Amino acid sequence: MSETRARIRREIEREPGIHFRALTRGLELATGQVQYHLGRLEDVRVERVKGRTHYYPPGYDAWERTALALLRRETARDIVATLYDAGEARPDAVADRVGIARSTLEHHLDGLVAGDVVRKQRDGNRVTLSLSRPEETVALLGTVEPSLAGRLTDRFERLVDGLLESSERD
Amino acid sequence: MNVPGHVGGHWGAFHVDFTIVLGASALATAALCLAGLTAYRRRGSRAYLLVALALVGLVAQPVLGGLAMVGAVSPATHHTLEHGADAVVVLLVLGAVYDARATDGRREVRR
Repeated sequence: MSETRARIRREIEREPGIHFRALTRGLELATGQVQYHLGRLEDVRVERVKGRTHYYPPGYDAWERTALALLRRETARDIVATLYDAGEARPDAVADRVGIARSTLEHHLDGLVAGDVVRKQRDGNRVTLSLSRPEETVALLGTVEPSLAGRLTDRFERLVDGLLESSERD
Repeated sequence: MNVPGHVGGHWGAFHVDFTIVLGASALATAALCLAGLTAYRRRGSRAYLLVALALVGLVAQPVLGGLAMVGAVSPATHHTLEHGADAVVVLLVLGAVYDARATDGRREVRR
């Protein structure tokens, strides 16, 4: 295996669920070069989550792969941690506890519910949120860490949603 | 009376103190602008587009400052363009705030 291919492989093992652009940026390689080697790393698994392509070493099932991609987002992690503590909670309570606007919560819930990380139960008009697989989800939290740029974008979204929501309320 | 606010030496056409201030401002606004554009790509709403464009307007300021420093833009033009960029930034943020209410107007009816 070429040295470049081995480096790509090591980076994917170190960061399961890393997305394509982060891979090229982190290794300072050209897009075409990474594409070429990824095509030849046969056991590397690929998952498209919310429009982004993520790469995984072998050993994670489809649910884990989707969950890992979602748990790279700082705000999604906060939502998951809050639901783990609470067991079950109403969306407003989760937004309050995490300190985010309802629009930020709904944006993250779209992905978390689609990936079966969070379960949304409807009882008439009442919506209750809970984790589909609490123990497995919390175990995955330790596998990935949000990047600095990722944290900055998440906090930017929190701020903008918060500002727009309060201007709407006043 | 005007007191000159510029101290320190020169690196060719570059004033040392201006260069440091403009460099720091360019880096910080570029990071913020990148976060704004990424957030817009994720969220896709008009409010996010307006905020991201406002941040692009903010990046324009250190760029204009740099161009004025090396003499590519005259001080008078720089002054006008800088205040123009300020106005654009403010209008875009105002637009984003207005849009936040406008897109959720339906909610009022149900209440």
